[in-house]
Amino acid sequence: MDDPETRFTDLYDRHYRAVLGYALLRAERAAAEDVAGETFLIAWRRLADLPPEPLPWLLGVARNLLRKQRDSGIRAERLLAYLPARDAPDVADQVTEREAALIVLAAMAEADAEALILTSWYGLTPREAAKIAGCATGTFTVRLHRARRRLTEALRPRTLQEQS
Amino acid sequence: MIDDLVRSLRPDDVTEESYQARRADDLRKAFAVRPERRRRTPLLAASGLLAAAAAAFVVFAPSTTVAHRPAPVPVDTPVLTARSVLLAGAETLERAPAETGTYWHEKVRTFTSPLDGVVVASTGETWYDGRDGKIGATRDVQTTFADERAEKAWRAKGRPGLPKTGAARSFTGLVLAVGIGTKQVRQDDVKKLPADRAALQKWLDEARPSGQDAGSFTFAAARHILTSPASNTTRATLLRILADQRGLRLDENATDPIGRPGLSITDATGDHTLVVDPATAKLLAYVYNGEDEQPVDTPPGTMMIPAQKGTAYAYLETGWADLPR
Repeated sequence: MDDPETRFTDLYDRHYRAVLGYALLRAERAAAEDVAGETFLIAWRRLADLPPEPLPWLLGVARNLLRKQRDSGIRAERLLAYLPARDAPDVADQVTEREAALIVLAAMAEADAEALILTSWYGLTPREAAKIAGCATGTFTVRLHRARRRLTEALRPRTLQEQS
Repeated sequence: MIDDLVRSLRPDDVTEESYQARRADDLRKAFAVRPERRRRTPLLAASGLLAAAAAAFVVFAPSTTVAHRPAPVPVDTPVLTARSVLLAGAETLERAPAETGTYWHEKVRTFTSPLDGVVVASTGETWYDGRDGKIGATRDVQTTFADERAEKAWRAKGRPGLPKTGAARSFTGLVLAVGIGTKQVRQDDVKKLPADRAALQKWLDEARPSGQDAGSFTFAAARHILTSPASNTTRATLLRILADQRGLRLDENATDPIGRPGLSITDATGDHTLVVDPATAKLLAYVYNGEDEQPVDTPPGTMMIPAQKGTAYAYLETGWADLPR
C-alpha cells in the first residue's frame, strides 16, 4: 500500500480543482480557496476513513464548511468572471450562450441549479449528489429534471414570432 | 447536451491556476499534522442512549482477584485450520433454526485496560426492538492488577476506567446504530443484510474505508454482525468470507476472557481475535489487540468509543428475548 503522504498527494492532485470549483459557486475566490484548503486538511486527518470514491465526501465536507460563511448561497453569476476561454472560431457565440446559461442558472431555485451543476461538472450519480445536497435521491432527481428542462427551454432557439 | 453546456461553465482556468499556486502550501500544511488513526470502533447514534447506558453503571469495590483474561496459549501444530473451522461453523449456522422475537438481548462482559497491568471488567445488558428498550444495571465490576505497583499507580491516578453508577432504565424512541466502517447500521439494516456471498462482500467493500486492510476490517465488522440479529444464513456467509482471508491463525485450545473453551481465530494483522464455540458456531468473544485509537470528532448526536489495546468483549447471551419486568 502507498504511504499516507503519497495517497494524500494523489487525492489532492485529483480532486482539488473539483472542490475549489464547487466552493467558487458559494464564495468569493479567496474564501473558496481557504475552504478547499481546509477541506483537504480534514481529509488528511481522516485519510484512513475516506470512502473508496472520495469526491462526494470531499464535496460534502466543503459544503459544510461553506455553510458557516455569511452569504453562502449558490450564485451562478459568480462564474461569469471565471468563464474559461475557448479557442474556437465561434468564440463569441459560445460565450454568449454560456453567459445566457449562467443567467438562467442564477435565476432558478438554488437547489435546482446545484443539482444540475453537481451532476454535469463531476459526473456524480443522483445518489451521490443527493447526499451532498442533503436530500433524498428522488427529490434530487426531480430537481435535476426541472433544472434541465428550464435551461433547455430558456436556451431553445426561437422564431421571430415567438420572440416578439 | 444541456449537461455539456453546463460542464463548459466549470471554472477550469481558475481552479487550475489556484491548484498550481496553492498545492505546495496546502500539502505542507497538511503534513505538519499527524493523520488520525482509522475508526474501527462503534459509533453509537443517539448519545441519549449512551448517556443512559453510562448512568446505568454500578460500581463494586475493586478487588484484587486473579485476572480473568487468559494467558496466551502456546501454538500447537493445528489439526484443523482456521479456514476449515470457519467453514464448518458456516455449515452449523446454516442448519440452525431461525429464531424470532421482539427484543434483541445482549449481555456482554467488557474488559478494558485503562493503565498498564490493570484490567477493569463489568457486565452490561441491553434489550432493544429497534426503537424502545431497556438497559440493565451494570454488574460485577471487577478490577484486577498485574502487581502491587500497577494497583498503586491506578489509585494514584484517581482509579480511571471504572464504569459509572446508576440504575437500570427503560427508554423509548431512540435510534441505536453501530458504525461499521463508513456505514451507520441500525437494527433493521442488520436484519436485511444479504446472505448472498457476492452481495454481502459488496456491502462490506462499500463500508470499508479506503486504504484499510480488507481482512482486518472484515474481522472488526464480524464482531458486530455475528452478535446481531442478522439471519443465520447471513452470518454463515460472513464466516465463509472470513475463511478466505489470508494469514489467519487458529488456536484450538483457547479460552475466552471468562474462561470458556473455544477456538480462537486471529486475523493477519494480529489486531482482532474472534473466539468461537465450535458446537454452535456462535461468537463467544472478541479481543482487540491493535494500537489504542484516539478519540475523534463525530457528527452531532453520535459518539465514538475508541478501541484500546486489550479491550475484550465476552458475549454471555445474545438472542431474542422478552423485555424483563
